[in-house]
Amino acid sequence: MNESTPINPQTWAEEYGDVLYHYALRMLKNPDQAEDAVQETFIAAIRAKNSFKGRSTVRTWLIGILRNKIHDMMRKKYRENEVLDPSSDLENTYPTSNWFDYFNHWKNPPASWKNPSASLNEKEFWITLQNCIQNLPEPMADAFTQRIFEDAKSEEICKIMNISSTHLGVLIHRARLRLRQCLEVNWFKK
Amino acid sequence: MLSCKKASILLSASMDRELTFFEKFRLNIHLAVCKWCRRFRVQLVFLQSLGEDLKQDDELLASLPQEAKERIQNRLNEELNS
Repeated sequence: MNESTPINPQTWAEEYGDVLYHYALRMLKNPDQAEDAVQETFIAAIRAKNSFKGRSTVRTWLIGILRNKIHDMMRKKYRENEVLDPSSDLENTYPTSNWFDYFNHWKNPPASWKNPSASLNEKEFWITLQNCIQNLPEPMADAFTQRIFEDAKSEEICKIMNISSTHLGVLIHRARLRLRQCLEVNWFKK
Repeated sequence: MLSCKKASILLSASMDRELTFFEKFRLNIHLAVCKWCRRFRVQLVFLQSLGEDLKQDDELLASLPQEAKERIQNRLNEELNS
């Protein structure tokens, strides 16, 4: 281990457990999977501790390892389980009839949200958001969380999820329609 | 004239890429007369901003339950001693 960049795994669970768990939970949605991902990240970091050169903070280094783990998990999910049918007719697979009527007008037009950015300071808002994301069909949730919480480029997400960029665009659009409505009903209108 | 459905698709796309001149032109005409789609745009921008919170207050983060932290630390200590 490099003497000038000491790392202290004896306190990692306390120091970095929350921030890693928060990140993993947002990407994986499942608390047990998220805990496993955190533990595996710490173990991988211990085994690779010589690769930490002190060029970033320990926190950034650990989050990097976690990200790679999550990517691997997702790649595996979408390759092995064939979650998404590449030949599907996108309009029929993901209909928009919940939001737009026969004339392509809004069925339930967006209401006005009062001061949405103030909600960002409330823990209950983030819990509501997490629940809304949890209610999304899995491919939509995965597409949306990678786009928003990882700021991943389309090409990267397409590779991980094994879909075309058109398909990805449809997933993200539908995710946004659903989330917008879920937040409106469960938060902004209350 | 764009429908709201088509406008919503363009608005969503505009969050991820630059729209073409023609797309922007048609969208702006629709937005000029449709307050619902204007609201949708505001709300889309809000959704985009949700990713920026990772730098925020630690107390807003989801927490690992204490017993999970202890369990994980025990496992790590095993690993360190092996």
